Amino acid sequence: MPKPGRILKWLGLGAFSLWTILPIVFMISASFKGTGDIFKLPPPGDWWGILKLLFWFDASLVQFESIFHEGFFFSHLLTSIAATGLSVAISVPVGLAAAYALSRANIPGKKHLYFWVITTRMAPPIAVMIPLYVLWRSLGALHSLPGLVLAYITFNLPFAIWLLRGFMDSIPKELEEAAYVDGKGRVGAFVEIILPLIRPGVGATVILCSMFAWNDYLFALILGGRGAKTLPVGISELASATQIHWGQIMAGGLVMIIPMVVLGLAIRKSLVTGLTMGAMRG
Amino acid sequence: MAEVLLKNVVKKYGKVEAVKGLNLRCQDKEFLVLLGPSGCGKSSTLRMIAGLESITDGDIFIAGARVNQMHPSKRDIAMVFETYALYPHKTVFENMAYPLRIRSLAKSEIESRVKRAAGILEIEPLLERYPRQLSGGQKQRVAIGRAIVRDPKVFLMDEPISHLDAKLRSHMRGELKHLHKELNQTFIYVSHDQTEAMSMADRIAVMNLGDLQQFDTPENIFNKPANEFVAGFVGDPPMNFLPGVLVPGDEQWRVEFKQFTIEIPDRVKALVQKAGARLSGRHEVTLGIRPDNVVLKQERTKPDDLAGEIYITEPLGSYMIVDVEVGEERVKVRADISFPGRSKDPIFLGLDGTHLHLFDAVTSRSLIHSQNGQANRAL
Amino acid sequence: MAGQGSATTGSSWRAMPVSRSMSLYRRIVESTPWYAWWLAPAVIILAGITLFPFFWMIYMSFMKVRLAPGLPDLFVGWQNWARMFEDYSVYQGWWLQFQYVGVSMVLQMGLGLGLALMLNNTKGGSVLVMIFMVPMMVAPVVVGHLFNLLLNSSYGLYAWILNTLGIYSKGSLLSNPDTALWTIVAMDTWEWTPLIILILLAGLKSVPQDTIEAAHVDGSNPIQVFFNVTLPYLAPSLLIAFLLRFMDSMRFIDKILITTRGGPAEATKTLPIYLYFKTFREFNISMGATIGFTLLVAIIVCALIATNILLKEKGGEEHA
Repeated sequence: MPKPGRILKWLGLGAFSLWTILPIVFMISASFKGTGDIFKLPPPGDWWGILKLLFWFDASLVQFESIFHEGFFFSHLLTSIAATGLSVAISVPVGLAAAYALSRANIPGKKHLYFWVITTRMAPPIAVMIPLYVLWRSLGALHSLPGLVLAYITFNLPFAIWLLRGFMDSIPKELEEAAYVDGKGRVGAFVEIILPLIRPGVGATVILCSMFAWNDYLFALILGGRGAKTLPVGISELASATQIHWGQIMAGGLVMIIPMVVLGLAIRKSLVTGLTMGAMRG
Repeated sequence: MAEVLLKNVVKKYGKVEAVKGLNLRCQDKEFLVLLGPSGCGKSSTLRMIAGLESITDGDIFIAGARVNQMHPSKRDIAMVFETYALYPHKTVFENMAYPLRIRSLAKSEIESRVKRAAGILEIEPLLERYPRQLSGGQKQRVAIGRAIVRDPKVFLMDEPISHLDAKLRSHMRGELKHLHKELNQTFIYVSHDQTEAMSMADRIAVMNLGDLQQFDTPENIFNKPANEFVAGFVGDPPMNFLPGVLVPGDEQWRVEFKQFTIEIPDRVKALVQKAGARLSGRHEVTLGIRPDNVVLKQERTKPDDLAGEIYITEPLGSYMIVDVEVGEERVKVRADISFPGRSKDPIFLGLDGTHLHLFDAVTSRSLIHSQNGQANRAL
Repeated sequence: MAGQGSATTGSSWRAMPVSRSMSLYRRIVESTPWYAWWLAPAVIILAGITLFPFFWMIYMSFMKVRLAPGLPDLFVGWQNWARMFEDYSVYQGWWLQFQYVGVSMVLQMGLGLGLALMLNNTKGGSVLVMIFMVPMMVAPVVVGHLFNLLLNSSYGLYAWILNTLGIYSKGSLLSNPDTALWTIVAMDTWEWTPLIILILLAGLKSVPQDTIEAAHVDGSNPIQVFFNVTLPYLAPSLLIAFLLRFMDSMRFIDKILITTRGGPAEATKTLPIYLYFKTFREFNISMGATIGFTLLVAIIVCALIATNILLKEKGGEEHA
């Protein structure tokens, strides 16, 4: 490649990296500042001051202390963990069974089933929520953890089915047949042969489903409400019309995104596969 | 150790009939080969015996028990797959031990059985490896190992050596035959390779288009093919076929071709008559003769020697295939490697009359041997 | 044929002829194909929480839904529908949604393609890819708050930079009706362009290197190579990236809800946002159901097209 091209390429990559990473760096440094320091900006033009603001400041854990100290944050965290965990614990096993049937059986009308599953997954939450709101309300499930978990299943179960079916399809059916001939029944072969082989796929599915539920805001806001307030809703409440607790919001946001970033990077090989629902092999 | 019996077994995939009413009895301890081209229904048949495919119609019995609705795991069979189907997440040892673990055998028993099987197959050094670390031939041995660790009623093999290279394939043919002798159990083996069938089988069931063509010993399949398909499928190079007209005279029978005529020896004539074919007057036939049963001659020594011209010669090391044009037909002849003829040379063909085959041009059934084929079909 | 065979295997063990003496329960159990048992939990759950609510929404669009206890819903016929078609905000919402999604797509696809090409076969690219992955895992809510702060006119880093560079100094970009929507587009671009990059990078791996070399040998310049060799191989990935991002931008409104809430001066009141306010702020459930249903149908039509295209692409790859 000629030199100007290479320089241009690295300029482009560098600019995009900066654009991508700067907000995250800003967020991290804001989380570790005292409340007063967050609002300090150097005078316009003082770039050195910006560098100091991002990397060289009086680090403090006061924001983290305050969010955990006030108690509400901890209960939101628990609600988030419970809603995410329960929705995944239901969606993935149920999805596994359905994916196995879809992958292995010659089911009449399979195409329609696929279509139903994928459209359910693609439906906009705000539209899905309207009938759910009315129904949950009449069932008394509004503003409750079970109601929220069920709502998360509306998008996690179709996702799990679709993604796991893709992983399942990549396992040759001869392996199960060999297990049958060796003396295992269908369930036994599924548990002892298929499951170990698609473990990476199941892991990716669990992580991605967790991510969707964990990051959800709208369902938690409307269906979870007071009774099942998750972290995204709790953090957003720190910004009221009268006062915005920026430090706490940044610290809380950081606490929220760290587990997902760690898990996401752990499955980075299958992340693209997962986020494209298997349409693309990463 | 068991007899396998198929009664009017039919397999349909939608509207396509893959197996059309198959009757077959595989005797106890027999090495049976299901032979045929791809799509002939042989694999479907094997998979139905294994229980991996449903049976559309008919019955299958293993050791006297009807197994139509029985799950493969309950049939007490072992199977070697074309793709080997080794469990990628288990070591060689665990692959072979799996069927035994399912049956909850004692640890020591499992160990000794796997070791013994590994000994027979000479794969002891591989026991701790994973399938991905093995070569094709090694995988294939492990697949066989997994089948022989236990004592199933029947061994089923679905083209187990078709993916190996030619040298290894030839070696494994011997090994498998030896294994059959050693285990002394029923083997049902699917193959599209006539050499495999001929070299290993006690009996061969030749299939085509879902129908059983002939079910007999390799010798009879080769020497007494029941129809044109069997005759053409078995034997390398394949049998020569010449379309002609059988003219049964009072004394001498002959087959007339466009440019020449062949006299039918009395022995063959007697066989045709014995086979009971009702022949009245001229009859359209296909005459078949194997390349081994034709002699090349520089000069005409008998009156019915055929005159022809060498088209091409194919030296194959120890022998040579010579293609000879006789009239409009081309005849392959197996000749000694020292045969000096060259393209365009005139040549004479002496047909070994005792090895002539005659097939009905319409039904393609053998006019000589159709009887024994029929007898087998009816069990 | 083989696949079909294995499929029928199991069912036939169950689908045996049943004798009359068996109880009804056993007869039903015996004649049910195996896959039904595996599918049942998923189908029942999904029917309960997606299919039934979907029909309930249709029902509600013909009713006047009254949430107060004891008050029954009233049948109003096409009234909600007539109102929706008279509602200027609905049309404006669709138009804003169209602009939002359209500009996001063009921007993200363009950036994604450019950066994927820069990253392809670049040493150290994998480290950059790791960095690029971070934004997609950040909750949209956090993205919203983060940019709220970054753009804050008195203490936001981005506001400071824009001011220093002399580009913009009239407060937050999010509180200006002329810039608010495009600022949200930029936030979405920050979060999701990396996914497009990753998809296209995976696609670029499928471009055969020897074909590119052959084209170079034939004397093509890099631009010709790109259009004649790279682009055709990349087309399926581009399509997948586009469809996925399109469907997702249609769906999610978290960032708008956190930052502008449809404002300022309704500049970001896209259809889903309008729907949110109509339903859950005004509690006009009937209108919400009506508008929601149209949105859902629009998405289902898009999904139908997208799935058909995706499945075709996938099938094509398998055959290749």
